[in-house]
Amino acid sequence: MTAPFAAAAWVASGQSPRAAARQRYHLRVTPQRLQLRRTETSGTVLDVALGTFSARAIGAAGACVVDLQGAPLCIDFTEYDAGGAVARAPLRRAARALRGRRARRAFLSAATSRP
Amino acid sequence: MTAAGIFLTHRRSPRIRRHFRRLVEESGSLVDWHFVYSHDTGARPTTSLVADDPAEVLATRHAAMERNGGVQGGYVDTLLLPLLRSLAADQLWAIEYDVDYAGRWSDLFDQFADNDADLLTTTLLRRRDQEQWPWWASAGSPSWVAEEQWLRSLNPLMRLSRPLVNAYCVAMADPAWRGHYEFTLPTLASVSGFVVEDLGGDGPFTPDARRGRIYVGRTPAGRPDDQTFGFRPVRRRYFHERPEAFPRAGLVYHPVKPGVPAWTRETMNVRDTT
Repeated sequence: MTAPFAAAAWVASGQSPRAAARQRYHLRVTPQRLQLRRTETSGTVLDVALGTFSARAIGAAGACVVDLQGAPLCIDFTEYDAGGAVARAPLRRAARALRGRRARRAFLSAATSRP
Repeated sequence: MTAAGIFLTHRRSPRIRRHFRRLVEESGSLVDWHFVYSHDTGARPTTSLVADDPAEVLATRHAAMERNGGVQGGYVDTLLLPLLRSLAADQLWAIEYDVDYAGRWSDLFDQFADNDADLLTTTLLRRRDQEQWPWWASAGSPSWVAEEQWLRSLNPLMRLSRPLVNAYCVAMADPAWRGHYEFTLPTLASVSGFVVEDLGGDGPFTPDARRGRIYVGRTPAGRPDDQTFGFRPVRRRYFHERPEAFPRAGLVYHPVKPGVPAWTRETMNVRDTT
């Protein structure tokens, strides 16, 4: 059985979208589905069955690409400062990268397991 | 709030250039306009804007556009949305060359500068308001969207928020969304909880404060005799060329075809190859 997963993430369509193109969403993986909801209103934007997409990590810490039958979505669990900038302090940046990697690992595990 | 916009044309001529210059000059600091020339039926127009590849930003829609043989007939979103996403502004306008305003453009845009709707467009109607709209036949949506929630709009003049541009590009990765973007855009915006408003007119999404203003267009009751914004009638001269041909001041008009053949379902504005 797939483990449930829920976290906030930055999402944009494309493999490597510009930072300005990202928006924050609530992302949830249930035993059957991947769901994206808006953080402001919790309105659904995407709700697709597991098994209809593939997911893989990409280079940036916390980032991965979900491929929906040829349509890539970049999902990034990394925390950013206002304006989408990475933290300037090295320790803070490293801590955020670590949390991003952990969230990504948990997401990939949940999203690519099969019920 | 900052605003930027795209002026989209599939023809280039001195008359269209003058129309664009009036738009830029009269908009002033309200909207930062960019000229975009769609030189063929694809989704990569000629423009100074640097945007992500439409085949990545809207991959599923782009593939459908290619099967369709071009953006004409419902896939202009594959051209517009990547460009809108590239603009550095909060409010993102798109206007086609055949939209005109019987007045000073700043008088129009000033009315919306403080409006926080995510989608402002025209002729927003529910399915039950216009059952005979021809593009319902090709429409499709994911199972979490009921057909009773389907909307249609007419988008030669529209404004989107940055979050809506992002959400639309993300949502359209689901191949269950199918059909004309005048269906997919307002429907996705509405079912995802974005604020959707008609720019004016007299429809179900027209705020009371703008009822009967901005334009005259189709309503659930049908096509009004004095329609200014719709499929017809076609005007042949811009407002700056012949203001007396625009019977009501302070309204937007569509279509204005300055030496350009009118859109038909047979030709669908497929570009000349000459």
